[in-house]
Amino acid sequence: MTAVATAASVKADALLVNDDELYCDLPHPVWVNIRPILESVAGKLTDEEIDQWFVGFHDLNEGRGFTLELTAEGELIISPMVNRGGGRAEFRLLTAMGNWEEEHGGEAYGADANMRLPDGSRIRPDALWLSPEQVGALPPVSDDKAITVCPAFVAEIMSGTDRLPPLQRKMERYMANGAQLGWLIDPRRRRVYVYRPDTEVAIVEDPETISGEPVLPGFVFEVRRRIFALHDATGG
Amino acid sequence: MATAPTIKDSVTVAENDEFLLPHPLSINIRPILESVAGKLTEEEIDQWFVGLDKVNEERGFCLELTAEGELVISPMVNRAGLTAESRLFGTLFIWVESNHGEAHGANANMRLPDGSRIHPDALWLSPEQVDAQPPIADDQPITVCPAFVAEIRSGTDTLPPLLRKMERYIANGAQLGWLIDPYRRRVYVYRPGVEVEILEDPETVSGEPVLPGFVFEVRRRIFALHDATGG
Repeated sequence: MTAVATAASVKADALLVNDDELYCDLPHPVWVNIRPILESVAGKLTDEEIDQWFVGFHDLNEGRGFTLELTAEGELIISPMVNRGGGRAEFRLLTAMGNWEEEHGGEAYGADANMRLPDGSRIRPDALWLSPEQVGALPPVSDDKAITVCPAFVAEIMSGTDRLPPLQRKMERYMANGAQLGWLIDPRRRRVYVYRPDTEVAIVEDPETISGEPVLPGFVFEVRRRIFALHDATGG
Repeated sequence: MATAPTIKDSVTVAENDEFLLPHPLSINIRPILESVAGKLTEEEIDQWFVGLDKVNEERGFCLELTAEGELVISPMVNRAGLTAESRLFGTLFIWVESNHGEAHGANANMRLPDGSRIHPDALWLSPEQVDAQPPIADDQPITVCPAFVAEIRSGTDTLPPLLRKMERYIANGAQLGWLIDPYRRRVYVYRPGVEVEILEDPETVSGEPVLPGFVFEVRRRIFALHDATGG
């Protein structure tokens, strides 16, 4: 038996886009290669115009639960937002850096900084610090302008949806673009990967603290108490 | 403190290991479209999709772009979904052989009059539409809205975006649209100027008057697949 119904409600439903529907619950980052788009605009758009894409993406995709980055090779990386534990870890690191910055100068930023590396990647770490020399060389900070140097110091905190190899490659990219010190903090394994130019990455197992010497003189971050412990508490 | 070996091969590792998207993901990339307005032709933008298909091959998703700038990343359909698509397309193809027009499957590149680069699971161009198109080349999209379009809901699709997609086809000039939902055993039939008609567990669905004589045994050919897999 074929029952035939006409439903006015279907049409109304169809046109309604609700926020829940656009919110994406991604299990881990997705990479979409958009190199054909980049190639088509080469010579037609300036780097600054492409930087503006990310200002727009940020506004238009608010509330959808992801962030967007772009590598020099054209990989658009769609990453799920960090959960509350990850957000607190970032906040704690940034707070410690902020306190240090007050005495020592330079500028610290969190994960919402817009950045363009010398190789053209629009990626960003969870925390970064620009040295006073870098700050002096940049145009005055404005909300819509990207930071166009690779920060002297960058830090990434691995979240539950991240896998290690892409983050390691990201750290290598920061170093190749001129970072002087990089920390990749893995709360799950209680490890810190320390990157410095021209030396092998050092893996520090369950450290109590990590030192920012010589890039951040006197900066010591109590990573065990401030970040690893968060992970113990949440169990996740 | 231990020293690790340099991660020398890490930058060359394939970036997108087998990735399974739980459901389609929509990213608004309107800033890109706005920035190229007046700088790229529609044909140059069409070429994005030829390139995107190539560079993202084997990543397990397909890409569509709406006129509003939503880039929709959808997981590839599973085996049951593929079988359903090929059954519908196969039947349509056989009908075309003894009738007229052209049938295409989900791999057709398409640009609707509103600028959306979206594509259905199966489509049919009327003889008039075929005549009005330039000769088919692999890299050229179909630039009319097909007279007939069909979508089959997959396990990762939610209904509202598909309903909107069907509305868009009709608004762009489709004469008949089927949205087949094997999960609810329903077919939504879209025609211009009339309300959508919902067929509950139909045995067959008819293509009249757009596809004269075309009758698709949806229950046996598609709904039954779903019974068998239990999914």
